Amino acid sequence: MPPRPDPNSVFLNIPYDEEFSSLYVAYIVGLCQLGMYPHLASEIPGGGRRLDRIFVLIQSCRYSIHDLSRVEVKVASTAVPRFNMPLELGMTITWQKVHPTDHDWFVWESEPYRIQRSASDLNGTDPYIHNGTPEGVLRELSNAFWRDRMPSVPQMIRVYGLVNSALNSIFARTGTRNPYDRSVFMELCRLSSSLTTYFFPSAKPTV
Amino acid sequence: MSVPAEAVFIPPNSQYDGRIVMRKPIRITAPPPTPEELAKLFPVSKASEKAIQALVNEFKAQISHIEDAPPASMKPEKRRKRASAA
Repeated sequence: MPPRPDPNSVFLNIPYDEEFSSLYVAYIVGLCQLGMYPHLASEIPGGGRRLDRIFVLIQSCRYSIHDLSRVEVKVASTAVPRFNMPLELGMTITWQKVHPTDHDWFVWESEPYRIQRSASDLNGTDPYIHNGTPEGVLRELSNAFWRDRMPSVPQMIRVYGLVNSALNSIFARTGTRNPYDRSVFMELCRLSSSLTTYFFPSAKPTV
Repeated sequence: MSVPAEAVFIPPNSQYDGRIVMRKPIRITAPPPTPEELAKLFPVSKASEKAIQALVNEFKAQISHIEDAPPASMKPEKRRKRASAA
C-alpha cells in the first residue's frame, strides 16, 4: 500500500520543450502562490525505469495537472505527435479509479473543444483552457483551486514577471540553459514560494 | 422560474455518453509550507539562497511602493491630504 499523498503536492504532466517554458514557469509560480508544491518527472533521481519513477511520483501527489495542449502533429514530415502526456494521464486515471479518495486529476488545454477531437473518450471532463498564455495558466489555476485567502490573479502575474525575468540568472548559477533541469526547477519553486511567503502574508490560511 | 440547485445542463451532443464531471474548484485546507519546509522541499545552494533573498527584498520594495500609491480614482484633495499625512 503506497503512503498517503501529500495534500499540497501537484504532479505536473507537461511537455518539456522550449516553446512551453513560459507556461511551465507560470504553472510553478501559480501553484507556489497557492501554497502548493509542484512536482516534475525530471526531479526524480535516476535509476530504475523512468515510467516506474513517474508512477511513484503520481502516487505521492494529491493532485495532477495534465497539459495536453502540445499533443499535435507538426508540419515537418519527420515530426511525430507527443504521446507522453496522454500516456501519463492514462496511468493517473487508472490510479484514481483504484484509489478515488487519494487523487484528483485535471486536464489543461489551449483551445476549447480541441480535446473532443484529440481524446474524445475524455468527453464529460471539462478541461481548463489557458489560451496558451501564462496569464491564462494563472487564471485557470485560480479557477481549479482555492484557499480561504489567496493572492489575486494580477498579484500572481506580477510575481510571474519577476520569476520569469530571473530565469537567466538562475541559468547562470546552475550552469544549464534547460529550464526543466532539476536544479533550475528547484530554484524556480524556491523563489516563487519565497515571494508568496513575503508578499502575500494574507494568503496564509488562519490555522 | 426557479431552478433547483442540483440542476445540471447536459449539452445536446449526440456522442455525449452522459458522464458528467462538473468543474468545481477544489478547496485547499492544508497549510502552505513554512520557510523551513521550503528549504527542505526545494533545496538550493548557499549562493542561490542569497540570490533568491536579494530578489525577494528587491521585489518587496517594489510592491510596497506600488501598494502605498493612492488609487487612480482618489480625488485630488484627498490625494493631497493623504500625501501630507504621510
